[in-house]
Amino acid sequence: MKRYKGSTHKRAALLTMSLAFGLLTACGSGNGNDPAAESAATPAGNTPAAENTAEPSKEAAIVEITVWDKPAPDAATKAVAEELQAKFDAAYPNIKVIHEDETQTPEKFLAAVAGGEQPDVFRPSFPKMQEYVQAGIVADITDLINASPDKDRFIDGAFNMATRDGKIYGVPLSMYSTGVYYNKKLFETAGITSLPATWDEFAATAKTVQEKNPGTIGFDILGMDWGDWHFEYYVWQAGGDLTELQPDGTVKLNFTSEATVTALQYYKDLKWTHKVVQSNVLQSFEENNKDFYSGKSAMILGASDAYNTFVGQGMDPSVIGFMPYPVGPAGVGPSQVGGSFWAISPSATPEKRQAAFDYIMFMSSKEAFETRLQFNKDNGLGVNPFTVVKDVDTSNYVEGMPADFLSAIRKAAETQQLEYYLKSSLSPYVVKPIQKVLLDQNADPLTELKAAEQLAQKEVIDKYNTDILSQSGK
Amino acid sequence: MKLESSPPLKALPAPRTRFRIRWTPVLFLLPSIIVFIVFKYYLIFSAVQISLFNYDIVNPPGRFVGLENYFVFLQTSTFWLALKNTFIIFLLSVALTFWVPIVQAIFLSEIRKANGVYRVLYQIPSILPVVAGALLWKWMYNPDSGLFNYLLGKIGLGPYGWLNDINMTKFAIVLPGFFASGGIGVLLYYAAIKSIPAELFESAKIDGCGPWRRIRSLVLPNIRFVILIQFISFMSGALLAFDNIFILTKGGPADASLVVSLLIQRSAFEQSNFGMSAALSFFMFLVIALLTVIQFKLQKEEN
Amino acid sequence: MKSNRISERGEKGLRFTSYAVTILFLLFGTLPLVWLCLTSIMDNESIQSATPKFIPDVPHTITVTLDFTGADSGDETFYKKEAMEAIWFPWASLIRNNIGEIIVNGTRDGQQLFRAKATSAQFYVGQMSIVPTRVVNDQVMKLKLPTIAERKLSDFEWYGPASKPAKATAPSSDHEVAKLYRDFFVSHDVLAGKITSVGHSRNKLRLFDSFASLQHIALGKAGDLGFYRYFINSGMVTFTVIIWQLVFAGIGSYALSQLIRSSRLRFFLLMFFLATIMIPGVSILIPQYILIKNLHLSDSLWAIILPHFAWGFVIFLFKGFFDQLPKELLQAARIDGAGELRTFLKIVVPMSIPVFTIVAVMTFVPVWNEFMWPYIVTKSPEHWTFPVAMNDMQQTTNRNTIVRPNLISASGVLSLIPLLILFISTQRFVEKGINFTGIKG
Repeated sequence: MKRYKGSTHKRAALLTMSLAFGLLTACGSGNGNDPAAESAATPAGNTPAAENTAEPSKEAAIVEITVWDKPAPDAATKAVAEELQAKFDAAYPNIKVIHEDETQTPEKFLAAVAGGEQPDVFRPSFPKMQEYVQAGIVADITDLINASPDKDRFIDGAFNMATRDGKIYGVPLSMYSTGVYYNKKLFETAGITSLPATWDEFAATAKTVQEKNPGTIGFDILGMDWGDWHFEYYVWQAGGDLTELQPDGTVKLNFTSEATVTALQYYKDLKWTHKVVQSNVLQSFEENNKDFYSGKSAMILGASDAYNTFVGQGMDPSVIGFMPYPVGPAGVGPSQVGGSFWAISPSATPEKRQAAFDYIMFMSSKEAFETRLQFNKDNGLGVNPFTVVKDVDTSNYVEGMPADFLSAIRKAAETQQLEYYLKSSLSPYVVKPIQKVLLDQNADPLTELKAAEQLAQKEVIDKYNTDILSQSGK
Repeated sequence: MKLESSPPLKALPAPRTRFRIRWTPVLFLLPSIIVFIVFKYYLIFSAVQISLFNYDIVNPPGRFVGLENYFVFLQTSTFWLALKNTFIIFLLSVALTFWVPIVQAIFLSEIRKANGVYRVLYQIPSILPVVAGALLWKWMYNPDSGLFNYLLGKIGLGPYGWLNDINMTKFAIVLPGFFASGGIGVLLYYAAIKSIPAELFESAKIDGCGPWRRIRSLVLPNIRFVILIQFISFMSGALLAFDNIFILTKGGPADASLVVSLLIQRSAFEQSNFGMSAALSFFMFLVIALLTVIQFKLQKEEN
Repeated sequence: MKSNRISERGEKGLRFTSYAVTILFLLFGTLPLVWLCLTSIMDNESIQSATPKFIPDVPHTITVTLDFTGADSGDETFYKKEAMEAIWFPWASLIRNNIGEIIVNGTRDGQQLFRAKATSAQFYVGQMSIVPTRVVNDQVMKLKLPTIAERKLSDFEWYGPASKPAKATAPSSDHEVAKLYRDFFVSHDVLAGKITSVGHSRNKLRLFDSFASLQHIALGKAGDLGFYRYFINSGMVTFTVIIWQLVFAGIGSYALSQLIRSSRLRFFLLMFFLATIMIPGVSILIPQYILIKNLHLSDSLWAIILPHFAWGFVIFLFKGFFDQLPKELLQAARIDGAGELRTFLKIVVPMSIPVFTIVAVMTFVPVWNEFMWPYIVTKSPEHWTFPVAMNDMQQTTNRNTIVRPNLISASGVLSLIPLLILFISTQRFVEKGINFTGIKG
């Protein structure tokens, strides 16, 4: 039920790159608007490919591939997805694509993999990509990518999250960037004129807004079981990161570093000293969003695509403000970039891999991107100013989004950072101390982090590092 | 099995009666035995097999590691914490919910008017799917807008953190069961109480032993068998509880409600470590089997 | 009653306690369900408000008269576009004001041209396709018209010019929502027609639109049967499993209880069946999936049904009851020359109606409510069971819908109905069995 949504929001990670600006809407969080959701559901039978079987080409046999990218029947972008799909079928008569519903849960995906029914093409999020590379569920497509003329079209660093030991496992599909959303109206009533730029100013602003707007909350903090997702930003702002990838491929934990402790202390202060966060600190990501769009909380961290959720829930666009993260003690506040990849099944035959790759590249072509952007513009679909390719200028398609919102997103995205390494395995260990300090006034950040680090070191890192070293030793 | 090892009978012109006695039970039991072998034993066997490997789901089975998966989790403190939490939640469930239908049935059997209506009403809370029920309670526990806290506020208590309180979480997870534990259990107990011969009640009355003693010394002993049945299924249900905990807390806050079934799910579907997941499940299987055998032993001694 | 003559010590106290305890438990037990039913007909704002509300707020009906006198005329599509703009654009802005329906009457020169209407059931299903953002212009709405028509997201009745005299326009309302509606078009000048009046009323029927929304969502996925498809699937699965349990588990347990003489073998077999309830469900998901796939049953109802056939608890329960059967009776039947099957059918079954009923009910609940396995093993919506469909309605990923708590509640209420019917209809049999004194618990 509701719970499975979780994983899609977890996608987060970074690419250091210049950001082109693009279509409005949900890239990362998997709303139907992400470019990927758009390759479509043309039933396999009635496409040009089918006609072509009647008139077989002499050399190439028909290659059949399964792609998990069928748009929901009520998806807003269904039409454009099907249009592109039909174009692909016409352009590649020897490839027959079977589109299936995209699954949302790891249970369903992994069951299909175990049953030998892994789709030839699927679209994991950034953190899932790392996990799947580790588990050997994605094909190494380095050669295909290097041979492709399109390789250089992708923005710098776009392949980072899908690269390991110099091998590439995925093609970038979509991206989003994060920052702080604020409610302009609440800020105005509180008489706040300049946006907070540092941690202290942030806390002070939250306090003022909360006092001047009775019944509201200054800042909705994320303390639920993906709490590490937002917490890592604070660690960056304090000048560190939760983990460190060593040159030999092993991983070092930094839970007890000064930056991490400072960040957790700040969390603790927000909750207990400044008292500017919601009382239900464990509430879900959706509930945080709800607080924000219903005007109950003044500030919230969010990705660029959250704008659509807020507007879709009736929030007045002119009230939605966006700003970069206030900088921490280290004087930096990098934005986090997340997104998703196209990936190919390792059990696909070389022919299927080539066909799958052709399909992916077709969907990543300039024309495909522009078709989707134009469709979104014409249909009043929303806002994601980021794109993974250099040759598409998304600013031509942005409409109906406040200009200051756009420029704030641009500004926030100027400096960026990758999510901490091994997040998908370490998450529960990081969340524990976060929840402790948010719930227990007497919890000491350093003590809690130390305990978490010891546990994670023993239960995850030691084994991981041994595996890595034994693999490279071979 | 003994029964199947007598094939010559078929060939011989055995006396009809013997043939019937020997083969009918086999035929009667065969469909059940087949589905249990295929859909339970074969699967648990596969799971045990998986637990011995560093399982690779693309090219199964992967590297054979023997009992390593078992040693690994036995050495992690997360596992022991989860096991402890599992048992605390189990004991809390016994304390808070197991006895409820028994009490309900006993009192119900004392009510004569519109008794059937009450029995239907008792079914209603239990038919709500666990998932829907858990979502509903999550809502009600919400410290800001939850119904539960609102009502407590009305009588001058709360708002209270419930799921937000590390010390309270386990209790908050079990509490909904107290309200929804009626269900079929009430009917079973009720049926059992009603089938106690009326003469026994009459003579108890003549002896003048009073209603409370009557319940203790007449009703309870007579429904012991149903209690055992219920307890065995209750036990595996409580020790393997997953859905409600997953929805209410996902094991949080700060692992306060992390139970083994969540670890099983987490290692398989969050970390793709199916070998570990299978090892954990087999361990839980052994624990529950052991407890069940103890139950039977105790029951036998009492008889 | 006879027994009343012998009055017990403390009898009154016991009776009083009995009523008190029973009523208290019933109150506590049904409270969550009452809340579920209430929220299924509440609007989101009330559900999520800081102080819980218990009385649903009846949704607003906005009736708009759009006059085209003097404006450029166009064809039916033109007016359709106008009508849809008058419905969908302002609604998206007023989404948090509990609107139940918007009705637009188009007039020209005193004649009614059309009548258009959308209910909240239609609006919330189509919102993310039709008005996902605040882009308000003719172009966008033109592109949406086919979607609206195809998915039946609004009603549009076309009368044509000079065929129906317009009714006298109702006076404009001063209600806040009507004002907000007018304000919207003050700041967004998209309509060619002129809004001459905005009426306000309330329609109780619209309280139940959350249920209608479910049907709308299902129509797009599961084919013509819509929501009923899921009920039928769940029903078929549950029915088949119950039949199997009653027939095969019943007869098997009978054999186990009465026909096997070796007590050792009996214990062994009982454990063979019972041990299986200790297997954590999540741990056999993967092997089970592979097995079903090898049987070529993936994505079929059989894939959901078959694993349910093996349920140790049912056998345990059956055996427990069969153990109590009077041996003499069975012996007598055998002496009369009845075969075992005949004995079972003619003697045992009639005596055991309550067990069979209880097994049927006990099987029904978990099978009907099962989620994870059917979710994993089915791909096509036409094979979904009710819980899988319920889950789908709550998904926000991969499609443009936003979770609405009242939809969740409504689907919860719907899923309860079959179970309620079951309980009420089987009550009689269970009671009959209870009166039967041959069986001791």
